[in-house]
Amino acid sequence: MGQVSAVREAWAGFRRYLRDPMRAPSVMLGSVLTAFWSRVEGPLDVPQRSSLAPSDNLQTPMNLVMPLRFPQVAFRGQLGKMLFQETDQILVGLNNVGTVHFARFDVIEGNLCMFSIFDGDFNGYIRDFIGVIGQAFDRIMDFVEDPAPTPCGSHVDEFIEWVRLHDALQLPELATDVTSDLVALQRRTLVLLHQHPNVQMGIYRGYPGYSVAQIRDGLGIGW
Amino acid sequence: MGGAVGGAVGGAVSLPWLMRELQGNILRAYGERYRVVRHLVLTVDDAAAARLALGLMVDGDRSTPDVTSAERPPREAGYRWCLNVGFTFAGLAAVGVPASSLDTFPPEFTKGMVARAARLGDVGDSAPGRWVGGLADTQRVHLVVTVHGWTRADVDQICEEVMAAARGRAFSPISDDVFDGEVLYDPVTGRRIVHFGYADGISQPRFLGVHDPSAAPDQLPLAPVGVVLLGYPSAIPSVNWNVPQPDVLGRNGTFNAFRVLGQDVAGFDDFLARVEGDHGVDRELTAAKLCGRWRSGVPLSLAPTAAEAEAFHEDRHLNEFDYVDGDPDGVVCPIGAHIRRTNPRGAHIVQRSSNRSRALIRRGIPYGPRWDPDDAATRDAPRGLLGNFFCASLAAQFEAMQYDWVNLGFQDPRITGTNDPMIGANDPATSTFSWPRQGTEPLVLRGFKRFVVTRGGAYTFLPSLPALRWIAGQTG
Repeated sequence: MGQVSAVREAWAGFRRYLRDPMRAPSVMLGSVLTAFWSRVEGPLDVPQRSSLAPSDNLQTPMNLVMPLRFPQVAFRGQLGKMLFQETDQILVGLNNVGTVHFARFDVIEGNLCMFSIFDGDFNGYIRDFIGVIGQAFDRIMDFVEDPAPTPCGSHVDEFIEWVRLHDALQLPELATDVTSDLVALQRRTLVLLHQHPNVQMGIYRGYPGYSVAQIRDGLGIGW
Repeated sequence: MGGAVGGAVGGAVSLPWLMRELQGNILRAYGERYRVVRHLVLTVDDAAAARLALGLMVDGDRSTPDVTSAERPPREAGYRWCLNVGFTFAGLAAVGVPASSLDTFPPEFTKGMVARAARLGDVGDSAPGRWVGGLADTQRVHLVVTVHGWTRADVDQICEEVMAAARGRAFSPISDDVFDGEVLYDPVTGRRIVHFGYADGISQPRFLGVHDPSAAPDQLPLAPVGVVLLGYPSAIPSVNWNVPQPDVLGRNGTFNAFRVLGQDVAGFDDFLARVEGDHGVDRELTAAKLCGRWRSGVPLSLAPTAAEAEAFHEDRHLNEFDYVDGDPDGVVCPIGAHIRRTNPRGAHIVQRSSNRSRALIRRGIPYGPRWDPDDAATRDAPRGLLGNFFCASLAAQFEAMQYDWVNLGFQDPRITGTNDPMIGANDPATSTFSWPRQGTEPLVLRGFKRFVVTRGGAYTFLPSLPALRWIAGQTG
């Protein structure tokens, strides 16, 4: 009886495995094909939109994922202590950047993450915050793997490139921004996901098309 | 104050030494006599011949025209021409600059102006696909050689000699189109102007240790030379731009955004007439509000009315103003006006650290015939500006200016979402210009077109003279 039961259980498990949409043969086949397509396509990036609509340039997310050098709690404790020490500089600095809706540091599964929403150009944002909180980022570099060269303020281009590489890919909000060839949409999306392990999928904005300064001005709290 | 001139410029660097190292027209303009210009857009045919030609252009031998140093005082020396050489990224590679050096140039330069078109507002009619003279052909645009001269004949002669260097095997033009410009003068006042009729060349950054602030008062402080030259502290504390390596190649070089900007003078004039018809506002007042200066160059901030502008004759004081006191809401000079957008001076802006860090050196000369609505032969001829915009960081200065300030109005929430009324990428369907007025509702102008269209351009690097010798000595 024990053997029959084990066989039944194994058979049921195999059927569940086949029915699981995440393990269906088509998904597995898709993974194999994606790896192949990715080699054929080479590195893909999200094309830049050519629209000059102001809302395209406002409320852009940045999702910086920086693997920590060590996962131990004591190390994370040192990181937390350092961030506490730098809090004033970071808050005053980001306020002076003037274009940041919010920014926060999270530690998620061995990564220090800086999530923020900012207005304007990505490179300009990074340059501006180097100018005001570069020293804090110099200290952060002590805690992350493969850090950018420091001081950041003397290696601006390298730092911007480092941030770009650690910024999660933002899948476009419109399918047509992935590719104008909608037949190729699924394929290109899969290749993008294959090439970029960290991806932001979708975003909601409660007040689309407004800058930080416009909101602060409207609220009468200065900008 | 004058004692500062000729002293230390940056660190231990003295002004006379620096001026011997630099190409001319960067820290100081060539001057009024050089009123004719040609920009030769060239592709390298033979790398060795190109290096030979470049070597001849810095060796002091008069058989080939020499690149003009900043030291040479052209007027006193009686030279009838001046010569500058700029390289695109593809051009540096084409003359044999090694990959290890190419890798040290900043990404916006390596990608080039075509790749940055959307960021610059070069879309629609301004998109690279519509550019003239082969300028969109990034792989073939290698050098922009600029010759200024007293007369067209002077420029023709020097251009011929440049093209004949190294037995004419070095480079060739990428197209039959020529980029010729000539200074325009107002027929009544004799003042140097641009096609739109505004006085030209009034406001430029002035540098610590280079310019005498007492010569022409300006409420803006002198800028560090690192605003335009590589290898010196930038205008942003604790930020220094990378110097391309080896040091001899990058130091004392500058980046340039070369732009061919078509100007729709008829469209601008039509708009002024429409505002006059719709709102009863004098055309010259509208022109002044859009720009921030009267066409005579007198700033609204110093002369809010036409009568005051008429009575203003102190040319030395055309930049002696700020927006800090007295006009925070733009009642005198609208916040969205061209000169206030592109240079907010000391005014409170969103990016608090950027008031002075985006400064650009602008050297431009008009092209095409002066617009005359009654002259059918030239009325529709191409006209505009051949502009050079020098800076130490194309991304942090030229592109940030275009992206954040000219085309988004990001610096002040009251103009965010609008573009510069004169040079912005405007579309009649969305264009807006708000003109605040004392004690009444602002006058809001809408439906105006894009008056300045990009016809071409290239990012170039103007190396120092030692760097040119270094390039000429490469063997790759």
